[in-house]
Amino acid sequence: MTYTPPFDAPEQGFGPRRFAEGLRAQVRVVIALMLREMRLRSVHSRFSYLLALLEPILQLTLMMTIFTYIGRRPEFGTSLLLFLGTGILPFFLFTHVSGRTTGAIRASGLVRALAPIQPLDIMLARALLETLTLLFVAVLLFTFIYATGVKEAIPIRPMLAIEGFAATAFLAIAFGLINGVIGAFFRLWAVFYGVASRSLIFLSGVFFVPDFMPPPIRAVLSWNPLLHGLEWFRSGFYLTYPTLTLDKGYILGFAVVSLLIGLALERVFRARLI
Amino acid sequence: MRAVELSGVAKTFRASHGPRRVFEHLDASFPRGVSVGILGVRNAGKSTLLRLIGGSVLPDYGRVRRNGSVSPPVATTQAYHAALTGRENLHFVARVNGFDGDAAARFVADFAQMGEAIDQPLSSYTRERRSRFLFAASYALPFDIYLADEALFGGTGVFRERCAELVQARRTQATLIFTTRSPQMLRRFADIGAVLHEGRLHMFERIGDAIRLFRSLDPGTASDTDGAPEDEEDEEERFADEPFGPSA
Repeated sequence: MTYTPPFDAPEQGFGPRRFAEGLRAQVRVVIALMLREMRLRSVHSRFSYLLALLEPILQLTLMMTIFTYIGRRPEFGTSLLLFLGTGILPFFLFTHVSGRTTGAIRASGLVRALAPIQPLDIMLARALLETLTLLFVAVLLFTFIYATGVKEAIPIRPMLAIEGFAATAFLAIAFGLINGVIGAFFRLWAVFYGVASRSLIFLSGVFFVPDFMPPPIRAVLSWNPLLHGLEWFRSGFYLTYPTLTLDKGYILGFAVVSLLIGLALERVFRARLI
Repeated sequence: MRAVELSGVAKTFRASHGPRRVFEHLDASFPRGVSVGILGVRNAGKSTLLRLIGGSVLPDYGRVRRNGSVSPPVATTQAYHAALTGRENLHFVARVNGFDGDAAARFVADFAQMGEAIDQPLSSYTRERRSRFLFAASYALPFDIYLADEALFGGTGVFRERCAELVQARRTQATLIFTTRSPQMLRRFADIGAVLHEGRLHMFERIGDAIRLFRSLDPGTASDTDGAPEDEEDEEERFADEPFGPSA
Protein backbone atom coordinates (compact mmCIF):
# COMPACT_ATOMS: atom_id res chain seq x y z
CA MET A 1 0.00 0.00 0.00
CA THR A 2 1.27 3.44 -0.81
CA TYR A 3 0.40 6.51 1.16
CA THR A 4 -1.46 9.18 -0.76
CA PRO A 5 -1.45 12.56 0.90
CA PRO A 6 -4.68 14.56 0.93
CA PHE A 7 -5.00 16.42 -2.35
CA ASP A 8 -4.77 19.86 -0.77
CA ALA A 9 -1.56 19.23 1.13
CA PRO A 10 0.97 21.91 0.23
CA GLU A 11 4.28 20.66 -1.04
CA GLN A 12 6.97 20.72 1.54
CA GLY A 13 10.44 22.13 0.95
CA PHE A 14 11.68 23.29 -2.41
CA GLY A 15 11.18 21.61 -5.70
CA PRO A 16 10.73 22.57 -9.32
CA ARG A 17 6.95 22.48 -8.95
CA ARG A 18 6.98 24.75 -5.96
CA PHE A 19 9.35 27.10 -7.76
CA ALA A 20 7.10 27.19 -10.82
CA GLU A 21 4.13 27.90 -8.58
CA GLY A 22 5.92 30.81 -6.94
CA LEU A 23 7.03 32.17 -10.28
CA ARG A 24 3.48 32.02 -11.62
CA ALA A 25 2.20 33.96 -8.61
CA GLN A 26 4.94 36.56 -9.04
CA VAL A 27 4.20 37.03 -12.75
CA ARG A 28 0.50 37.36 -11.94
CA VAL A 29 1.17 40.03 -9.33
CA VAL A 30 3.58 42.00 -11.49
CA ILE A 31 1.18 42.00 -14.44
CA ALA A 32 -1.68 43.13 -12.20
CA LEU A 33 0.47 45.97 -10.88
CA MET A 34 1.50 47.00 -14.39
CA LEU A 35 -2.10 47.19 -15.56
CA ARG A 36 -3.02 49.24 -12.49
CA GLU A 37 -0.11 51.57 -13.07
CA MET A 38 -1.07 52.10 -16.69
CA ARG A 39 -4.63 52.86 -15.71
CA LEU A 40 -3.52 55.23 -12.96
CA ARG A 41 -1.31 57.23 -15.29
CA SER A 42 -4.27 58.09 -17.45
CA VAL A 43 -6.57 59.07 -14.60
CA HIS A 44 -6.25 62.82 -14.95
CA SER A 45 -6.18 62.96 -18.69
CA ARG A 46 -6.27 60.34 -21.38
CA PHE A 47 -3.39 62.17 -23.09
CA SER A 48 -0.93 61.91 -20.21
CA TYR A 49 0.23 58.47 -21.21
CA LEU A 50 0.44 59.46 -24.86
CA LEU A 51 2.56 62.42 -23.88
CA ALA A 52 5.00 60.12 -22.10
CA LEU A 53 5.38 58.25 -25.37
CA LEU A 54 5.98 61.40 -27.36
CA GLU A 55 8.46 62.98 -24.96
CA PRO A 56 11.63 61.48 -26.46
CA ILE A 57 10.43 62.34 -29.94
CA LEU A 58 9.74 65.94 -28.91
CA GLN A 59 13.11 66.23 -27.21
CA LEU A 60 14.85 64.83 -30.25
CA THR A 61 13.04 67.31 -32.49
CA LEU A 62 14.18 70.14 -30.25
CA MET A 63 17.77 68.96 -30.32
CA MET A 64 17.61 68.53 -34.07
CA THR A 65 16.40 72.09 -34.48
CA ILE A 66 19.25 73.45 -32.40
CA PHE A 67 21.91 71.32 -34.05
CA THR A 68 20.71 72.11 -37.54
CA TYR A 69 20.68 75.78 -36.63
CA ILE A 70 24.29 75.77 -35.43
CA GLY A 71 25.16 73.71 -38.49
CA ARG A 72 26.50 70.61 -36.85
CA ARG A 73 27.34 67.56 -38.95
CA PRO A 74 26.65 64.03 -37.76
CA GLU A 75 29.69 62.44 -36.18
CA PHE A 76 28.98 59.22 -38.02
CA GLY A 77 26.84 58.28 -41.01
CA THR A 78 24.94 60.73 -43.15
CA SER A 79 21.87 61.48 -41.05
CA LEU A 80 22.16 63.63 -37.96
CA LEU A 81 18.65 62.58 -36.98
CA LEU A 82 19.52 58.89 -36.97
CA PHE A 83 22.82 59.45 -35.17
CA LEU A 84 21.16 61.39 -32.37
CA GLY A 85 18.17 59.05 -32.33
CA THR A 86 20.28 55.95 -31.82
CA GLY A 87 22.02 57.76 -28.98
CA ILE A 88 19.07 59.36 -27.27
CA LEU A 89 16.93 56.23 -27.14
CA PRO A 90 19.19 54.05 -24.95
CA PHE A 91 19.89 57.12 -22.86
CA PHE A 92 16.18 57.68 -22.28
CA LEU A 93 15.69 54.00 -21.65
CA PHE A 94 18.24 54.14 -18.85
CA THR A 95 17.18 57.41 -17.22
CA HIS A 96 13.43 56.76 -17.45
CA VAL A 97 13.48 53.20 -16.18
CA SER A 98 15.99 53.72 -13.37
CA GLY A 99 14.54 57.14 -12.46
CA ARG A 100 10.87 56.24 -12.36
CA THR A 101 11.47 53.21 -10.17
CA THR A 102 12.81 55.56 -7.47
CA GLY A 103 9.36 56.62 -6.32
CA ALA A 104 7.62 53.35 -7.14
CA ILE A 105 6.94 52.18 -3.60
CA ARG A 106 5.69 55.49 -2.29
CA ALA A 107 3.58 56.22 -5.35
CA SER A 108 1.82 52.87 -5.36
CA GLY A 109 0.71 53.25 -1.74
CA LEU A 110 0.32 49.51 -1.75
CA VAL A 111 3.05 48.09 0.39
CA ARG A 112 1.57 45.04 2.07
CA ALA A 113 -2.02 46.08 1.72
CA LEU A 114 -2.38 42.73 -0.01
CA ALA A 115 -0.42 39.71 1.11
CA PRO A 116 0.91 38.62 -2.30
CA ILE A 117 2.32 42.05 -3.18
CA GLN A 118 5.85 42.60 -1.96
CA PRO A 119 7.98 45.75 -2.41
CA LEU A 120 10.08 43.98 -5.03
CA ASP A 121 6.98 43.34 -7.16
CA ILE A 122 6.05 47.01 -7.05
CA MET A 123 9.50 48.11 -8.17
CA LEU A 124 9.72 45.44 -10.86
CA ALA A 125 6.27 46.27 -12.20
CA ARG A 126 7.14 49.91 -12.67
CA ALA A 127 10.55 49.18 -14.18
CA LEU A 128 9.11 46.66 -16.62
CA LEU A 129 6.22 48.91 -17.61
CA GLU A 130 8.68 51.72 -18.31
CA THR A 131 10.86 49.35 -20.35
CA LEU A 132 7.86 48.30 -22.43
CA THR A 133 6.91 51.94 -22.91
CA LEU A 134 10.42 52.73 -24.15
CA LEU A 135 10.29 49.71 -26.48
CA PHE A 136 7.14 51.17 -27.96
CA VAL A 137 8.81 54.57 -28.18
CA ALA A 138 11.76 52.98 -29.99
CA VAL A 139 9.52 51.48 -32.65
CA LEU A 140 7.69 54.78 -32.99
CA LEU A 141 10.87 56.84 -33.14
CA PHE A 142 12.65 54.77 -35.77
CA THR A 143 9.49 54.49 -37.84
CA PHE A 144 9.31 58.27 -37.69
CA ILE A 145 12.96 58.62 -38.73
CA TYR A 146 12.39 56.13 -41.53
CA ALA A 147 9.38 58.13 -42.65
CA THR A 148 11.51 61.25 -42.95
CA GLY A 149 13.47 59.43 -45.62
CA VAL A 150 16.40 57.89 -43.72
CA LYS A 151 16.48 54.31 -44.96
CA GLU A 152 19.11 53.26 -42.39
CA ALA A 153 16.57 53.70 -39.59
CA ILE A 154 15.77 50.01 -39.94
CA PRO A 155 18.66 48.30 -38.13
CA ILE A 156 20.96 46.53 -40.53
CA ARG A 157 22.01 44.10 -37.78
CA PRO A 158 18.79 43.87 -35.77
CA MET A 159 20.15 41.35 -33.27
CA LEU A 160 22.84 43.79 -32.13
CA ALA A 161 20.30 46.56 -31.64
CA ILE A 162 17.99 44.26 -29.68
CA GLU A 163 20.85 42.97 -27.54
CA GLY A 164 21.99 46.53 -26.88
CA PHE A 165 18.49 47.54 -25.90
CA ALA A 166 18.13 44.52 -23.61
CA ALA A 167 21.51 45.09 -21.95
CA THR A 168 20.70 48.74 -21.31
CA ALA A 169 17.28 47.79 -19.94
CA PHE A 170 18.91 45.21 -17.66
CA LEU A 171 21.31 47.83 -16.35
CA ALA A 172 18.47 50.31 -15.86
CA ILE A 173 16.24 47.85 -13.98
CA ALA A 174 19.13 46.87 -11.70
CA PHE A 175 19.85 50.54 -10.96
CA GLY A 176 16.13 51.07 -10.50
CA LEU A 177 16.00 48.48 -7.72
CA ILE A 178 18.80 50.25 -5.83
CA ASN A 179 17.08 53.59 -6.38
CA GLY A 180 13.73 52.16 -5.35
CA VAL A 181 15.06 51.14 -1.94
CA ILE A 182 16.90 54.43 -1.39
CA GLY A 183 13.92 56.42 -2.67
CA ALA A 184 11.63 54.74 -0.17
CA PHE A 185 13.68 56.32 2.62
CA PHE A 186 14.77 59.64 1.09
CA ARG A 187 12.24 61.57 -0.89
CA LEU A 188 14.93 63.90 -2.26
CA TRP A 189 16.85 61.05 -3.82
CA ALA A 190 14.67 61.27 -6.92
CA VAL A 191 15.81 64.85 -7.46
CA PHE A 192 19.51 64.10 -6.91
CA TYR A 193 19.37 61.06 -9.12
CA GLY A 194 17.40 62.91 -11.77
CA VAL A 195 20.07 65.60 -12.08
CA ALA A 196 22.94 63.12 -11.94
CA SER A 197 21.51 60.73 -14.49
CA ARG A 198 20.56 63.48 -16.92
CA SER A 199 24.08 64.83 -16.89
CA LEU A 200 25.13 61.43 -18.25
CA ILE A 201 23.88 62.61 -21.64
CA PHE A 202 27.25 64.34 -22.15
CA LEU A 203 29.28 61.32 -21.05
CA SER A 204 27.49 58.49 -22.78
CA GLY A 205 28.24 59.18 -26.41
CA VAL A 206 24.89 60.59 -27.45
CA PHE A 207 26.62 63.39 -29.36
CA PHE A 208 29.92 61.76 -30.23
CA VAL A 209 31.55 58.49 -31.21
CA PRO A 210 33.73 57.29 -28.33
CA ASP A 211 36.26 55.69 -30.66
CA PHE A 212 36.96 59.07 -32.26
CA MET A 213 37.97 60.54 -28.91
CA PRO A 214 41.60 60.89 -27.84
CA PRO A 215 42.71 57.73 -25.97
CA PRO A 216 43.08 59.37 -22.51
CA ILE A 217 39.54 60.72 -22.65
CA ARG A 218 38.31 57.43 -24.03
CA ALA A 219 39.87 55.59 -21.12
CA VAL A 220 37.97 57.77 -18.67
CA LEU A 221 34.68 57.62 -20.57
CA SER A 222 34.79 53.84 -20.83
CA TRP A 223 34.09 53.54 -17.10
CA ASN A 224 30.54 54.65 -17.77
CA PRO A 225 28.46 51.50 -18.28
CA LEU A 226 25.73 53.36 -20.13
CA LEU A 227 28.22 54.32 -22.84
CA HIS A 228 28.69 50.64 -23.63
CA GLY A 229 24.95 50.09 -23.88
CA LEU A 230 24.72 52.99 -26.29
CA GLU A 231 27.60 51.69 -28.41
CA TRP A 232 26.05 48.23 -28.50
CA PHE A 233 22.68 49.57 -29.58
CA ARG A 234 24.13 51.93 -32.17
CA SER A 235 26.34 49.28 -33.74
CA GLY A 236 23.15 47.54 -34.83
CA PHE A 237 22.36 50.42 -37.16
CA TYR A 238 25.72 51.01 -38.86
CA LEU A 239 27.71 48.27 -40.56
CA THR A 240 31.04 50.03 -40.14
CA TYR A 241 30.51 51.60 -36.71
CA PRO A 242 33.79 51.43 -34.76
CA THR A 243 33.33 49.46 -31.54
CA LEU A 244 36.83 49.44 -30.13
CA THR A 245 35.60 50.87 -26.81
CA LEU A 246 32.61 48.55 -26.53
CA ASP A 247 33.04 45.94 -23.80
CA LYS A 248 29.93 43.81 -23.55
CA GLY A 249 31.24 41.96 -20.53
CA TYR A 250 31.68 45.22 -18.66
CA ILE A 251 28.08 46.45 -19.00
CA LEU A 252 26.64 43.00 -18.27
CA GLY A 253 28.91 42.53 -15.27
CA PHE A 254 28.04 45.99 -14.01
CA ALA A 255 24.35 45.19 -14.36
CA VAL A 256 24.63 41.84 -12.57
CA VAL A 257 26.53 43.40 -9.67
CA SER A 258 24.01 46.26 -9.44
CA LEU A 259 21.16 43.77 -9.50
CA LEU A 260 22.73 41.82 -6.63
CA ILE A 261 23.23 45.02 -4.64
CA GLY A 262 19.64 46.07 -5.33
CA LEU A 263 18.23 42.70 -4.26
CA ALA A 264 20.43 42.68 -1.15
CA LEU A 265 19.27 46.17 -0.19
CA GLU A 266 15.66 45.11 -0.68
CA ARG A 267 16.18 42.07 1.54
CA VAL A 268 17.92 44.02 4.30
CA PHE A 269 15.36 46.83 4.46
CA ARG A 270 12.30 44.74 3.54
CA ALA A 271 10.61 45.17 6.91
CA ARG A 272 10.93 48.95 6.76
CA LEU A 273 10.03 49.58 3.12
CA ILE A 274 6.69 51.17 3.83
CA MET B 1 -4.13 20.81 8.78
CA ARG B 2 -3.15 24.32 9.85
CA ALA B 3 -4.26 27.49 8.11
CA VAL B 4 -1.80 29.82 9.83
CA GLU B 5 1.13 29.03 12.09
CA LEU B 6 3.22 31.52 14.01
CA SER B 7 6.35 30.30 15.69
CA GLY B 8 8.67 32.30 17.92
CA VAL B 9 7.38 35.61 16.61
CA ALA B 10 8.88 38.78 18.11
CA LYS B 11 7.76 42.26 17.17
CA THR B 12 8.85 45.62 18.53
CA PHE B 13 7.54 48.94 17.32
CA ARG B 14 9.48 52.14 17.54
CA ALA B 15 7.08 54.59 19.12
CA SER B 16 7.77 58.22 19.89
CA HIS B 17 8.43 57.41 23.55
CA GLY B 18 10.86 54.57 23.00
CA PRO B 19 10.43 51.04 21.69
CA ARG B 20 7.26 49.17 22.49
CA ARG B 21 7.54 45.41 22.53
CA VAL B 22 4.29 43.83 21.48
CA PHE B 23 5.37 40.20 21.20
CA GLU B 24 8.46 38.59 22.56
CA HIS B 25 7.98 34.95 21.73
CA LEU B 26 4.55 34.25 20.33
CA ASP B 27 3.51 30.81 19.20
CA ALA B 28 0.07 30.31 17.77
CA SER B 29 -1.59 28.04 15.31
CA PHE B 30 -4.96 28.37 13.66
CA PRO B 31 -6.69 25.25 12.33
CA ARG B 32 -8.12 25.18 8.84
CA GLY B 33 -11.81 25.67 8.18
CA VAL B 34 -12.50 26.93 11.68
CA SER B 35 -13.55 30.37 12.83
CA VAL B 36 -11.33 31.77 15.56
CA GLY B 37 -12.34 34.83 17.53
CA ILE B 38 -9.56 36.62 19.38
CA LEU B 39 -10.52 38.59 22.46
CA GLY B 40 -8.21 41.13 24.01
CA VAL B 41 -8.28 44.35 25.92
CA ARG B 42 -7.14 47.62 24.36
CA ASN B 43 -3.43 47.66 23.50
CA ALA B 44 -3.14 43.90 23.87
CA GLY B 45 -1.72 43.74 20.34
CA LYS B 46 -4.78 42.36 18.56
CA SER B 47 -4.30 44.49 15.48
CA THR B 48 -0.59 43.72 15.36
CA LEU B 49 -1.31 40.01 15.58
CA LEU B 50 -3.79 40.27 12.73
CA ARG B 51 -1.35 42.26 10.61
CA LEU B 52 1.35 39.68 11.28
CA ILE B 53 -1.02 36.96 10.11
CA GLY B 54 -1.98 38.96 7.05
CA GLY B 55 1.60 39.85 6.22
CA SER B 56 1.21 43.62 6.33
CA VAL B 57 3.66 43.69 9.25
CA LEU B 58 6.75 41.52 9.16
CA PRO B 59 8.02 39.92 12.38
CA ASP B 60 11.44 40.93 13.73
CA TYR B 61 12.15 37.30 14.52
CA GLY B 62 10.29 34.06 14.01
CA ARG B 63 8.15 32.68 11.21
CA VAL B 64 4.62 33.14 10.01
CA ARG B 65 3.42 30.30 7.82
CA ARG B 66 0.25 30.66 5.78
CA ASN B 67 -1.40 27.80 3.94
CA GLY B 68 -3.69 29.30 1.35
CA SER B 69 -4.69 32.75 0.17
CA VAL B 70 -5.26 35.41 2.80
CA SER B 71 -7.75 38.25 2.45
CA PRO B 72 -6.86 41.81 3.37
CA PRO B 73 -8.54 42.74 6.69
CA VAL B 74 -12.28 43.09 6.15
CA ALA B 75 -13.32 46.61 5.07
CA THR B 76 -9.76 47.86 4.79
CA THR B 77 -9.29 50.71 2.34
CA GLN B 78 -5.58 50.27 1.76
CA ALA B 79 -5.80 47.99 -1.23
CA TYR B 80 -8.01 50.37 -3.19
CA HIS B 81 -7.28 53.52 -5.11
CA ALA B 82 -9.81 56.33 -4.89
CA ALA B 83 -9.34 57.38 -8.50
CA LEU B 84 -10.21 53.96 -9.87
CA THR B 85 -13.74 52.63 -10.20
CA GLY B 86 -15.12 49.93 -7.94
CA ARG B 87 -14.88 47.41 -10.76
CA GLU B 88 -11.26 48.26 -11.55
CA ASN B 89 -10.28 47.99 -7.90
CA LEU B 90 -11.96 44.61 -7.60
CA HIS B 91 -10.30 43.36 -10.76
CA PHE B 92 -6.94 44.41 -9.40
CA VAL B 93 -7.37 42.59 -6.09
CA ALA B 94 -8.74 39.54 -7.89
CA ARG B 95 -5.91 39.50 -10.43
CA VAL B 96 -3.26 39.74 -7.73
CA ASN B 97 -4.71 36.70 -5.99
CA GLY B 98 -5.50 34.79 -9.16
CA PHE B 99 -9.28 34.98 -8.81
CA ASP B 100 -12.08 35.86 -11.22
CA GLY B 101 -12.56 39.63 -11.20
CA ASP B 102 -15.77 39.62 -13.24
CA ALA B 103 -17.49 37.32 -10.80
CA ALA B 104 -16.36 39.49 -7.88
CA ALA B 105 -17.64 42.67 -9.53
CA ARG B 106 -20.98 41.01 -10.30
CA PHE B 107 -21.26 39.82 -6.72
CA VAL B 108 -20.52 43.24 -5.23
CA ALA B 109 -22.84 45.09 -7.62
CA ASP B 110 -25.57 42.66 -6.77
CA PHE B 111 -25.01 42.27 -3.04
CA ALA B 112 -24.42 45.94 -2.24
CA GLN B 113 -27.07 47.01 -4.78
CA MET B 114 -24.63 49.36 -6.40
CA GLY B 115 -26.05 49.34 -9.91
CA GLU B 116 -24.16 51.71 -12.18
CA ALA B 117 -22.06 53.04 -9.30
CA ILE B 118 -19.65 50.13 -9.60
CA ASP B 119 -18.25 51.84 -12.68
CA GLN B 120 -17.69 55.15 -10.95
CA PRO B 121 -14.52 56.13 -9.10
CA LEU B 122 -14.50 55.31 -5.40
CA SER B 123 -13.89 58.96 -4.55
CA SER B 124 -17.40 59.77 -5.75
CA TYR B 125 -19.10 57.31 -3.38
CA THR B 126 -21.28 58.51 -0.55
CA ARG B 127 -20.46 57.35 2.95
CA GLU B 128 -23.12 54.69 2.99
CA ARG B 129 -22.23 53.35 -0.45
CA ARG B 130 -18.57 53.37 0.43
CA SER B 131 -19.13 51.29 3.52
CA ARG B 132 -21.34 48.87 1.60
CA PHE B 133 -18.75 48.54 -1.12
CA LEU B 134 -15.95 47.87 1.38
CA PHE B 135 -17.84 45.13 3.21
CA ALA B 136 -19.23 43.45 0.11
CA ALA B 137 -15.81 43.59 -1.59
CA SER B 138 -14.18 41.97 1.43
CA TYR B 139 -16.22 38.83 1.00
CA ALA B 140 -16.48 38.87 -2.79
CA LEU B 141 -13.36 36.82 -3.48
CA PRO B 142 -12.96 33.14 -2.56
CA PHE B 143 -10.05 33.45 -0.13
CA ASP B 144 -8.99 30.47 1.99
CA ILE B 145 -8.49 32.65 5.05
CA TYR B 146 -10.50 35.77 5.92
CA LEU B 147 -9.12 38.25 8.42
CA ALA B 148 -11.11 40.88 10.28
CA ASP B 149 -9.90 43.46 12.75
CA GLU B 150 -12.93 44.38 14.89
CA ALA B 151 -15.22 45.09 11.93
CA LEU B 152 -16.71 41.82 10.67
CA PHE B 153 -19.81 43.25 9.07
CA GLY B 154 -21.30 46.69 8.76
CA GLY B 155 -23.60 49.07 6.98
CA THR B 156 -27.09 49.93 8.07
CA GLY B 157 -30.56 48.40 8.05
CA VAL B 158 -31.25 45.43 5.83
CA PHE B 159 -27.76 45.48 4.36
CA ARG B 160 -26.33 45.00 7.82
CA GLU B 161 -28.43 41.88 8.36
CA ARG B 162 -27.52 40.40 5.01
CA CYS B 163 -23.88 41.22 5.64
CA ALA B 164 -23.94 39.29 8.90
CA GLU B 165 -25.53 36.34 7.07
CA LEU B 166 -22.79 36.55 4.48
CA VAL B 167 -20.15 36.29 7.20
CA GLN B 168 -21.89 33.19 8.55
CA ALA B 169 -21.88 31.70 5.06
CA ARG B 170 -18.18 32.42 4.48
CA ARG B 171 -17.40 30.99 7.89
CA THR B 172 -18.61 27.58 6.79
CA GLN B 173 -16.52 27.67 3.60
CA ALA B 174 -13.23 29.11 4.82
CA THR B 175 -11.05 29.90 7.78
CA LEU B 176 -12.05 33.05 9.60
CA ILE B 177 -9.80 34.85 12.06
CA PHE B 178 -11.15 37.97 13.73
CA THR B 179 -10.35 40.14 16.71
CA THR B 180 -12.93 41.75 18.93
CA ARG B 181 -13.54 43.22 22.35
CA SER B 182 -17.08 41.97 22.41
CA PRO B 183 -17.88 38.52 23.90
CA GLN B 184 -21.17 38.70 22.04
CA MET B 185 -19.40 38.74 18.70
CA LEU B 186 -17.41 35.73 19.78
CA ARG B 187 -20.57 33.78 20.62
CA ARG B 188 -22.07 34.71 17.30
CA PHE B 189 -19.23 34.09 14.86
CA ALA B 190 -16.51 31.96 16.44
CA ASP B 191 -16.03 28.19 16.70
CA ILE B 192 -12.95 28.54 18.85
CA GLY B 193 -12.25 31.29 21.34
CA ALA B 194 -8.86 32.83 21.99
CA VAL B 195 -7.65 35.48 24.39
CA LEU B 196 -4.61 37.61 23.70
CA HIS B 197 -2.99 38.70 26.93
CA GLU B 198 0.54 39.90 27.68
CA GLY B 199 1.99 38.62 24.46
CA ARG B 200 0.48 35.16 24.66
CA LEU B 201 -2.43 33.71 22.79
CA HIS B 202 -4.59 31.38 24.86
CA MET B 203 -6.89 29.17 22.79
CA PHE B 204 -10.06 27.52 24.09
CA GLU B 205 -12.16 24.80 22.50
CA ARG B 206 -15.17 26.25 24.27
CA ILE B 207 -16.13 29.86 23.68
CA GLY B 208 -17.39 30.17 27.25
CA ASP B 209 -13.94 29.52 28.70
CA ALA B 210 -12.39 32.24 26.57
CA ILE B 211 -15.05 34.71 27.62
CA ARG B 212 -14.58 33.83 31.28
CA LEU B 213 -10.85 34.46 31.07
CA PHE B 214 -11.43 37.70 29.19
CA ARG B 215 -13.89 38.90 31.82
CA SER B 216 -11.41 38.21 34.57
CA LEU B 217 -8.85 40.34 32.75
CA ASP B 218 -11.16 43.17 31.84
CA PRO B 219 -13.65 43.94 34.58
CA GLY B 220 -14.99 46.78 32.41
CA THR B 221 -16.97 44.33 30.31
CA ALA B 222 -19.66 43.57 32.84
CA SER B 223 -22.23 41.91 30.64
CA ASP B 224 -22.56 40.71 27.08
CA THR B 225 -24.47 43.69 25.92
CA ASP B 226 -23.15 46.71 27.65
CA GLY B 227 -20.34 48.69 26.13
CA ALA B 228 -19.62 46.32 23.33
CA PRO B 229 -22.11 47.40 20.64
CA GLU B 230 -20.94 51.01 20.79
CA ASP B 231 -17.35 49.95 20.42
CA GLU B 232 -18.35 47.92 17.44
CA GLU B 233 -19.92 50.93 15.81
CA ASP B 234 -16.76 52.92 16.51
CA GLU B 235 -14.69 50.44 14.61
CA GLU B 236 -16.91 50.58 11.57
CA GLU B 237 -16.84 54.36 11.60
CA ARG B 238 -13.07 54.16 11.57
CA PHE B 239 -13.07 52.39 8.23
CA ALA B 240 -15.63 54.70 6.74
CA ASP B 241 -13.41 57.69 7.43
CA GLU B 242 -10.11 56.24 6.30
CA PRO B 243 -8.84 57.53 2.98
CA PHE B 244 -8.32 55.11 0.12
CA GLY B 245 -4.93 53.96 -0.98
CA PRO B 246 -1.77 55.93 -0.27
CA SER B 247 -1.94 57.34 3.22
CA ALA B 248 0.85 59.86 2.68
